[in-house]
Amino acid sequence: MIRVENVSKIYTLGTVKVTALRDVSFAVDDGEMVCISGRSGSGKSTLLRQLSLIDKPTAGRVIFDGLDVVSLSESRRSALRLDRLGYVFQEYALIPELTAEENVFLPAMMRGGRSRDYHARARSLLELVGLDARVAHRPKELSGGEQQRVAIARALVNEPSAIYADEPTANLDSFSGQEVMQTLTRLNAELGVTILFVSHDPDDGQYASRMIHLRDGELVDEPEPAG
Amino acid sequence: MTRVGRSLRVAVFLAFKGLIRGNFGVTAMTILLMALIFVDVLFLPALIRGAVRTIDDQVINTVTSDLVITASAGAGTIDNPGALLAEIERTNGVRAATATTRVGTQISHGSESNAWSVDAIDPSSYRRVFTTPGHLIEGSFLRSADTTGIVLGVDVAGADRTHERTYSRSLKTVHAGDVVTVTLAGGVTRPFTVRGIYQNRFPLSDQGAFISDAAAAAILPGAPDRATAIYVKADAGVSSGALKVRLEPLRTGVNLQTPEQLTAAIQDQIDTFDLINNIMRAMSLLVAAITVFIITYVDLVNRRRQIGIERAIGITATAMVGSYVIKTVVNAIVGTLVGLAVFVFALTPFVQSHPFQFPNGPVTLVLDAQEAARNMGVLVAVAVVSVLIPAVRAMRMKILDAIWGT
Repeated sequence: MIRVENVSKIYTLGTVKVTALRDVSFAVDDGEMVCISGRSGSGKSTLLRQLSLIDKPTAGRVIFDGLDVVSLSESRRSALRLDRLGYVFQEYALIPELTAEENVFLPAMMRGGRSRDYHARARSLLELVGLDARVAHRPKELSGGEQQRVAIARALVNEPSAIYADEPTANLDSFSGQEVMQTLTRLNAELGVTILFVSHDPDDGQYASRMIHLRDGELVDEPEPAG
Repeated sequence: MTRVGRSLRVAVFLAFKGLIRGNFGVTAMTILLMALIFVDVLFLPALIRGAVRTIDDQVINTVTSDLVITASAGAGTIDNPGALLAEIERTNGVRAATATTRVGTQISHGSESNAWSVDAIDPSSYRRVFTTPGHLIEGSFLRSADTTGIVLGVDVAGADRTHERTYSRSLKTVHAGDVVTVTLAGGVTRPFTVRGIYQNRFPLSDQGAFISDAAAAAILPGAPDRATAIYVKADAGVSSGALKVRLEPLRTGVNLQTPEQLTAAIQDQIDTFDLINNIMRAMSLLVAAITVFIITYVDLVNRRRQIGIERAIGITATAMVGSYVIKTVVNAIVGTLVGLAVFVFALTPFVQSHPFQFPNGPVTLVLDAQEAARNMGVLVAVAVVSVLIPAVRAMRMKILDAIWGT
């Protein structure tokens, strides 16, 4: 379970302070698929980074499986990111020198374990995301949608409790975007992994079990009207 | 497996994949630069070592041999040198020995005249100790019974070699067959016919002149009973120091000196060479450090976002820094090996066939394997330090700053 309590984030740009999140509180149950929506600049990516331990909030607490992760040291946060969380970036973010399979098993290799095991797991995950024929391909040989699905497989390789996806379809055409979202939905259903994804596309809400709306860094009940 | 062990495994994996699948141009350029720097690091010491070896060889082959025996202070000359020579030649480790007697101080030809030492020698034993008789550029060397002949160094004769630096101080136009006038001990002057002119290409020996013992005995009746110096050639593998220890008991009242003791002034030159060498090596290593730093820094700047992403997915800083260090070590080792191969198989043979003409003789490159290995180690260490600084700095950035490139 993920619990966000009164989280605020203020960026200091020179002498100017910009409040990106203001007193945000909510909870996500295990196995939920939550879409964080809002307009550009509403603070949704900022919120995801606080949850995924990539950034620290200026105030408030993030409780992940009962553990206050804000106060942890960077090495503990790094270990948590490796062991318990998966992250899917907007821009695929694969290592160009590695094949699809190697990109997927890299976090598992970092975590330890036998080579044979993480190779097998990487292959099964690539099969799960429909890329079993592309295991030996390097990122430059894959389409954008395929790269994003490799990134999803990588996020899953250490069997995380939660996956955070930051606008995973933003750089994809509509067909590839649909494929990626359907893949996430299927993984949520089949593996029971909690998924929080950020989207500014109202249509992506159809894939979520619940929506969280942000406006100017604050949680709101309803999405901002279009236009 | 511990966290550090896992990090090392990932570091090796990332480094290996980066090396075989990364930007070939960058890898090739890094290796080429390291090779060039290593050749630069090796070159000057090898050249200096070659120059020093040339000086050492010239000193031993044409001036001092392996051991010089002179009269102790006050005595002036060694009495009864024949008996001492016989004892020396019977000593284990001695290949040959020869005695010389300083008999003249001035040589004239026409209007040209200057002060040069003239030594009386036994041509046959002198030939066994020194290489000078084999370096004739005109005529022939002395014969034992020759009582009217003289052999001159090129710096004495001149021999119309106007391009030689010492020409202006020489007799300028003397050639084999010409007659020169020698002022001997006691002011006696005698004409001598120039039998030959030698050139060792070594200033310390090219200013000499020799007549035979027979000539000295004919002019100066007491000459055979005394010698100015005795020169001893050691067998191969016998050091000057060991030879000195063996010969010291043979006679009291004489000084035994090794070439090293006699060439302290040359040692000053060598020390100066070493100083220059160390400065140049430090400069080369600095260039290496800056080169590796720049290559790594540019690579890290280009990969900043990737570094942020790798950290975000849980790859440790140790693994990432380790991968950069391993890649740099591999590139540095390959680069230095390429540089070593170029030095040994291309540069050294080329200089061997086209030696540098130094004032003390032809100089080739002499590589010291131990020093080369030490320089390789230092270069790799410098490369590691140079890669650590930008890599550790990159890892200390906030993940978001790295991803955003701020």
